[in-house]
Amino acid sequence: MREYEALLYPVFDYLQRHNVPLGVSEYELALSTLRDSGIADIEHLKRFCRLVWAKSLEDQELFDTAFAEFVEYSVQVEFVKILRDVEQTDSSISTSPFDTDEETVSDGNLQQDDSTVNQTEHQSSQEHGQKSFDSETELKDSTQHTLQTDEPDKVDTKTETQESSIQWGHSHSRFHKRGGGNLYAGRDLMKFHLTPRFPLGRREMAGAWRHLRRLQRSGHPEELDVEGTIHQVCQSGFFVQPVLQPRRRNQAKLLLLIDQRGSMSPFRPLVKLLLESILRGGMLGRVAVYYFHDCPGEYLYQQRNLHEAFPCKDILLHHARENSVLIISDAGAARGNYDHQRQQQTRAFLKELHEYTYLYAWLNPVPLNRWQGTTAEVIAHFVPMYPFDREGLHDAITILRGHPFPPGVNIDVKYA
Amino acid sequence: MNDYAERQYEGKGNNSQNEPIFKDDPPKKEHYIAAKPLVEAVNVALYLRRPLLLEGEAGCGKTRLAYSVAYELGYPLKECYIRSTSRAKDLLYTYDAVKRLYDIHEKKGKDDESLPPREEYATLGELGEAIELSQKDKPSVVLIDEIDKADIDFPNDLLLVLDRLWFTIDEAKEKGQKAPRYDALNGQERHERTHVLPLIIITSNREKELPKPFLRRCLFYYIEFPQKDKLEEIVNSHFPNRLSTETVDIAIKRFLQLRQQKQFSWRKRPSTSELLDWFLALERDEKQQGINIYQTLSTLTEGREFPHLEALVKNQSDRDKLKDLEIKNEQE
Repeated sequence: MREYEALLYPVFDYLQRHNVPLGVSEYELALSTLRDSGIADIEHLKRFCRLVWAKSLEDQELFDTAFAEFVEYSVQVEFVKILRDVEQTDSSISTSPFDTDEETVSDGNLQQDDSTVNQTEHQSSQEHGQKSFDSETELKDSTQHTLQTDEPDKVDTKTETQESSIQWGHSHSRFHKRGGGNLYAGRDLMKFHLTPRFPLGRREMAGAWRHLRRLQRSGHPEELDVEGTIHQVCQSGFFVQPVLQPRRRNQAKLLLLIDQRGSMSPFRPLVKLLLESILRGGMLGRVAVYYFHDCPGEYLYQQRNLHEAFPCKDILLHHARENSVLIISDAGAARGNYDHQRQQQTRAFLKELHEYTYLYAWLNPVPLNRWQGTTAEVIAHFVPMYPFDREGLHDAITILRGHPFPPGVNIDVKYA
Repeated sequence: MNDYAERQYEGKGNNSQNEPIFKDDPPKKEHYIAAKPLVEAVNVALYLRRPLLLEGEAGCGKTRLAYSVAYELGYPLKECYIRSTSRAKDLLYTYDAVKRLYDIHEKKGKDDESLPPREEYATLGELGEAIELSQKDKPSVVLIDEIDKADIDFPNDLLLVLDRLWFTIDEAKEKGQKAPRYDALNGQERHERTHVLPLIIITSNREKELPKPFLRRCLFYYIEFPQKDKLEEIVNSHFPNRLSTETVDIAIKRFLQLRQQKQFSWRKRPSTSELLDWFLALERDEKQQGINIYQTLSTLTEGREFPHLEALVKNQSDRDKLKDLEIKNEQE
């Protein structure tokens, strides 16, 4: 295996763990292409991998971070080391591991001798090894190292390599563990990662919302209704004109009720992402968003700052009838106490909501284990409440599509 | 023997070095200057024949790139402009069942009741034509423009076709025969035929999130707004020797000042295409009305209105904000 392959794997792995849509075939594709066409230099390698592996502007940022951390940094460290060693051994070689042609890359098996076994005998395995480094070496000791090449005048025969195999894959992870002593160590790792990453990305949310659909025929009749036409021909005995029908369109409507301010403030970015995902998902026929504070009362607000109040009854009448309703609130779980009045008020609202539709669910951004002993635990008995994570969102959407409530959850349940 | 495998994209706005595949209908010349990474991206997409997904500001030349690639490579260009009602199948073919129904009735009771074969009622769509060309060992460039306009199902429906590059017209299946089939791979392996497969360029404005499996198969490139020297190159390529160097220089400077102003955020930032329109308007002024553009632009203080702002600023709110700014500057 060539060393850049070992270097690239962590980048790929990092992207995949951050939910960039990548499969093994994309990894294979990148490597096989690099094998066939070669790399000109590290910038070229970066551009190529970014083209194949990053799938949006945000992904590109993620990629840049990963590449800087796993590849550029390692290469830089190695390069600096080679330079120093070259100076030390009075050797004139200054080839970087990523040089301008691929041959150098494939042949540049970089190994490093271990400082502890320095000054020992030269091994036969070294015969076709070129400049070699061993990953075991401490960075701070790099100045003591000697460079080995297969050209006789540049070989330092006094040194010996314990392991002649290339250990780039391991070495890069060592490098940032030991960053401290080296001049260059840690420099690139100081970059801050300012793209917010949520437990659930917008792409996944949009994917989940795709399931919320109710296809109905509406609009102009523009599609040929084959069955209808045949039926008509059979009835009249001759063909007059084709029967057309409207296309099927997604008629799902959604009313979003969002708890705002107070204990919900920290979750604002997540809620914003959810809203974006719904709008970008693009498949919902109509989405209405209203806000409330703590629990929905007599009025709901159209503005995020709780302005422009509308009577709750009107909104339910207008938007909730036969439609899906999603409530997003911590239901008192963030504060961590039990509030009887809040529980009563929420229950009253849910009872009212139940008269208009049975397609409603609750997303709670506070994790499940924090609901215990709070108002949320009680409210979760009246309404299907799910934590705001991948499964939770999917479960909530299943309810919004018309699945029955989970057992034990019922608005009329007697809760002692 | 053809040289399709060797054709590479340069993106310098030069005359095409490659012979067009259809000499009687060659692709139109396109003055397109592409940044180096973009050229690389196109060549990687050519090499792998994976769909190239382009994003970027409106007016930065996403669609134009496809024209330019088709022109330089000499490949025929198949353009699919996506509407909100577009369906993936429409890109492959449409079948006119109604016409056939009419034909049946017209012939009814006559001596010759035979109808034309069913396949004649099918019309290939742009992507369908590209696959048909590939089957005949002719590559092409397929532009799928503004894919995010379509219904959310569209990209998913397209997936299978983009992967397999073959399709059948099921409606045109005759009794006892197989449905007509178009196969870009022609029964061979993909790597044997890469050089004749269609190069698919997809543009998106990010109005909708594209599904993950679709993204996975695409190469992604974000077209950045060009730097000043690239802008000059672009303008010179479009207006060769028609404007003096100083005029171009000062106009681009003014344009960048406007674009990069920090006082308010643009609703629609003027981009490359606006710049080119603006130059066209400026050039007309100079030629027809004898206005010295260089002088107008160099004496332009921040408080005074740009000439031909209508070519640069495309909506009311930006225009208003700009006006406010001008008034403020004048008062100061």
